Amino acid sequence: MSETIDEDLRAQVKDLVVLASGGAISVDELESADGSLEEVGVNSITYINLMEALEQTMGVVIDPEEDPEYLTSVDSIAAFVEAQRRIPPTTVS
Amino acid sequence: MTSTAPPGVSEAFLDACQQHRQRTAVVSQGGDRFTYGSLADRVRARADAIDSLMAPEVRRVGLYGENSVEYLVSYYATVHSGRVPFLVDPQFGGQELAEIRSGCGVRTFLVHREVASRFPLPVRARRVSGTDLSVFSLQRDEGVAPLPISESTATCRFTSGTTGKPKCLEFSHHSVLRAARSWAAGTGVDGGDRTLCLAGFSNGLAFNTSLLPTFLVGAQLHLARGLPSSSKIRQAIRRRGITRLIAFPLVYRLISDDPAACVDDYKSLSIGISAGAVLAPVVRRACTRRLGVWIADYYGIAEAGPCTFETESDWNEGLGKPLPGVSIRLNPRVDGQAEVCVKTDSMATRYLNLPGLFEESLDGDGYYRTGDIGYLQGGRLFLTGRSGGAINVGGRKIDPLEVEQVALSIPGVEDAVVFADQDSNDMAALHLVVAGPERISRLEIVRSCAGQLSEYKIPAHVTWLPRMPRSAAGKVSVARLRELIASTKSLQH
Repeated sequence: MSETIDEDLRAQVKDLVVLASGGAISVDELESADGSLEEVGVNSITYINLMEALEQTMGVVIDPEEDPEYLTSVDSIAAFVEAQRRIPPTTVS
Repeated sequence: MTSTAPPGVSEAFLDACQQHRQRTAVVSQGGDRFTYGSLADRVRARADAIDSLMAPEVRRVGLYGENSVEYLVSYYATVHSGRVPFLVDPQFGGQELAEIRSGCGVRTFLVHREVASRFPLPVRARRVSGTDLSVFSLQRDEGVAPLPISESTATCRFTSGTTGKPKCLEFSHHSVLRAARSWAAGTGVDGGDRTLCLAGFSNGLAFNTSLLPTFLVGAQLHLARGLPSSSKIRQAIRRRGITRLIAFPLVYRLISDDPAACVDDYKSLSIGISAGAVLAPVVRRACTRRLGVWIADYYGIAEAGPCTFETESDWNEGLGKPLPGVSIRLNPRVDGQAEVCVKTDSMATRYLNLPGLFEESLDGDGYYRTGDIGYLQGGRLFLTGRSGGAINVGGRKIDPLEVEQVALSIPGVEDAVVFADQDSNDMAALHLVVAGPERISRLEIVRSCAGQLSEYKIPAHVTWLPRMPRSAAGKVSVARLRELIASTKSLQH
């Protein structure tokens, strides 16, 4: 999965995680933990901030109850965003 | 045991179910509706199942689950069976559960399927037939025998202070009933209300505002799934016609910052109720001005129940006036400020696992010394600070000593201090400073704490120092720590 992810998108997701954590988590920590959110100690407040940021900056909604596997790592989030962007917009006539 | 259940909470609940039998009591996360009649039937059947699975001498039952209809059924069934439910935060880690076992004598848990895999202690499990529940039994430990539990006790809940372990609060049937009736009368909840509760049922915010007060008046309780987001909240309120929202301040920040929200989304909502931490005035104003949402920031204490409430929607400051059955007294301090002390009809009886400590927190007239600093103006309560005690992060209380003890168990950590910091989002955050001969990373600390502590107790910020700046008396100045942390950061950058 990780080979196909755009590096810019991956970097954007890392920045969002750092922002959502209020600066507690660093990009270096994310990289040394292979992007695992659990490994870097993402807590429920950071998850909430991250979900909100993903929705407002990238227009994607990840529901951790419905799609828990997408909210586990930088790569899984980036893959989800890419997949959402490939879905053509619905046209209402 | 059902026939010997003391009169109280379950009788009041079942009476309300009988009175409102045909009305909707609970709407699940998925939208399934449960009438008061069907809820009562489930509670009675679950109480029979509990009686058949647990010996009569097993009176202490831990409830371990997320918010659900099944959780509500298990709670009232446990009370109805004459046992005492201990409302355990499903985020508790091994350290906290071990204390609940040894300090409170809870060795039997009703565990809901969705959280069963994360139960942190070894158990013997039995399924409750026809349900998604299991009974988990823990081995008896060799520690000090826990205190006997009073016949009048209806419920035990947990809070944090500075004792190094969760404090188990014992509430009598009388206290639980008084808290519910006081909240219902003082806040005006009625049978037409639809309450959406976003706080966990094991938390006092949910327990005191959303369970019995809702059911006593025949209103509807709506459940939500998972972590909140602004779009989920907006859609739930609009689609379900929610009239009351119960949530921590973070949720109101999400609502106020939601760019897609409009007045129509929130037109059914008559009030948003916030507690657990101070709600930023800017958030309250934004919700009112932009979305027409009135937010009442109430004051409640784990040990004393709900204390104040603002009944005037055009009043946007302070925490409101005392609820029925609540008396507030300000005890002067040497620094000229005053400590808020409260006496309510819904006080806890004691800390089950810390004999004498609760009693020491009462003044000569039975007022509980809250540790909050504040004043009364026009009958309204205003808070200005705290005198030590637990750290409040997003409405959850965290005992710094508990976190420091876990940090000290990590190899290479020789000293540890936890204090309340602020992150770059201006939110309260836990900061752990560790000292030892070798540099230790934040990730190593996070890894070591995971599984032992609830995730919200795992420090967000970690700083390593070669030596802790303790005074001759062994004290650590937080101001000095902040200076050292700032200089460490400037060296790193």
